[in-house]
Amino acid sequence: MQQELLFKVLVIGDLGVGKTSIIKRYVHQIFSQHYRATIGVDFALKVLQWDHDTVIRLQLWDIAGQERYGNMTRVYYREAVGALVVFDVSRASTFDAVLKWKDDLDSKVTLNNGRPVPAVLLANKSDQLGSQQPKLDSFCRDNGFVSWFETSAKENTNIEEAARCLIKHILDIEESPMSERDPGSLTLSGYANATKDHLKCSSCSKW
Amino acid sequence: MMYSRGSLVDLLIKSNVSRYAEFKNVSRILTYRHDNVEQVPCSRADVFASRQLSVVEKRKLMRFLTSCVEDTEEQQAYNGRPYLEFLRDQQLGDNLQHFLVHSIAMVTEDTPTEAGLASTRHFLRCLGRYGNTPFLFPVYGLGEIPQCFCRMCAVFGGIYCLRHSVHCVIVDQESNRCKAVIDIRGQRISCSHFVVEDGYVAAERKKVATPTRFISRAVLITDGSVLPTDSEQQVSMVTLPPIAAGSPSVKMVELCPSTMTCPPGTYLVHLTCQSTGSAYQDLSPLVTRMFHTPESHDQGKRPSVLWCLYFNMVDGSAVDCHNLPSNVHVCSGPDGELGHEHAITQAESIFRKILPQEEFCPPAPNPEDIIYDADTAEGDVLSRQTEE
Ligand SMILES: Nc1nc2c(ncn2[C@@H]2O[C@H](COP(=O)(O)OP(=O)(O)OP(=O)(O)O)[C@@H](O)[C@H]2O)c(=O)[nH]1
Ligand SMILES: [Mg+2]
Repeated sequence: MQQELLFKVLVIGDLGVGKTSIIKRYVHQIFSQHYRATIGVDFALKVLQWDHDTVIRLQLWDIAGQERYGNMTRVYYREAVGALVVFDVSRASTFDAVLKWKDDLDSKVTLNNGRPVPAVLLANKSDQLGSQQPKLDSFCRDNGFVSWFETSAKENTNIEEAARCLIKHILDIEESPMSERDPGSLTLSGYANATKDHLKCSSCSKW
Repeated sequence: MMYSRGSLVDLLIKSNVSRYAEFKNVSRILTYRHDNVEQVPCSRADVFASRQLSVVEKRKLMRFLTSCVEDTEEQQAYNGRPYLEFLRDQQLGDNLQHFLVHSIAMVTEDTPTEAGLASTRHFLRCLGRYGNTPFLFPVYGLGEIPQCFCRMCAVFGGIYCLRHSVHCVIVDQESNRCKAVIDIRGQRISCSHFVVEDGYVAAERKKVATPTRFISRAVLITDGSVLPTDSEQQVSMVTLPPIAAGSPSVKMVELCPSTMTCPPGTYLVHLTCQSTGSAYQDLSPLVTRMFHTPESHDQGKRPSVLWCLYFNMVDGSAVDCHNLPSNVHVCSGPDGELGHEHAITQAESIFRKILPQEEFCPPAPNPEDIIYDADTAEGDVLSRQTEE
């Protein structure tokens, strides 16, 4: 039987590092020098035939409007199961901000077992790189990233690979047994319906 | 606290803003009588299961709740007379009268019959929409609700300038319109409309009900529930009738850790009433009786108060502003009512003044309606998008 999995993944990082470009490249197969904010869409949806019997629907949540300046609301983070943290290799300040984004992420969303959600680090705009960049393996180990990739949204380098890596880690967690989510919460309608069973009115009586 | 059929829930659903929030059902309604906390049976199942009610009371309550939904001539005869009198004449007995007045209608003993019946019906209509009581509480607290509206706004291009409080406004004398605001750092921000909380409005432009109405509030962190059960995860609405003549009737909400508002092993308690004195005068006698505090006399097995805060605030529903530029719109702070009817009505009326042609909070499109297939060739996008 085919199973369909829905994952909410956040794409975070400083202003102008290429978050929207990476999503556009990955989901819509396009790249542009100019982006206007996409109005009215919470996320871009990528549907992947992962293996013979698994379809993955990946919701990629971009940062909108006011949220650009860090300190995201929990509303944006809730129910996320993974994150891509992006910096721009040509601007050191965006790398310095990576840990701020990671801390904000870990403080606002965790897996059911209280562990941080898997995060992959993207060193974007690698096409603008003259010399070889330093390796980030130990940086990732020290700061809780599952892996890192040099990406270019412009030249379509490593974006698929980074996404596959993140999905693999998300799946590993999904397969390991964990404590069930608090079953008593309910949603009134909207996206969350697709991700989990929720309370219906069947159990309650009416006059 | 939200009514499951209140205008806030309706708006959240209609606008799709509800997609950003999660809720807990208030799991039980409690009341306090004769120094005792008891559960109020409100659904059919509760009434059957209740151990405080006799078989006769159960039958009477069932009959009453089924019949009160319809308007009858008998009820109309009581218009203008107290609800309590009407209930008394229904031969319901003290127990049931108490539950019906204080916990189901949530009115006072002198509320007129028609108002009492309307509240009772509202309660019954809300019951069973999502669970066993008429109330919902947002996970992480009510502060989530503005965040949800903000995310929706941001997704549609709204921009927020955080930490820029407004210092003053620039008003064009001739047109009597606000042209811009100046923030505390001296930055000028032009605007075509200015919506502001009433706290910013100078006293001489405010018409406040006299005497000014205040709300008394207390916030407690405790180490146990006022009515412990097998499950530690109860969200309780507690209705507290006046403990002495002249004292206010108080509404109390007790939140458990699964609402994500307090750490495991603790409870967060809010008490609210219309002020008759200071918050401490109004609420501390009750707190001292229901909980163990340093002021409590005995060592009964009541939950202990680990932390508490008492404060008063102006009742937002009683404030009105005048003599303001025509494009300045004032919204008031919280009021003492359960639910958020006043805030929603006000938001909608301000919106209508600014954008009379537009629909208020129309449903946001669902991103899932835009489908891009991974296997499609470059640039060839499968779009099911219907409209912008
Ligand atoms: N050379 C190069 N330029 C890129 C790459 N990715 C993005 N850009 C450019 O960088 C600029 C910013 O890209 P965006 O995708 O808008 O960045 P963002 O992170 O979404 O920015 P904000 O939404 O403002 O935070 C644009 O001009 C892009 O064309 C890349 O891989 N290589
Ligand atoms: Mg962007």
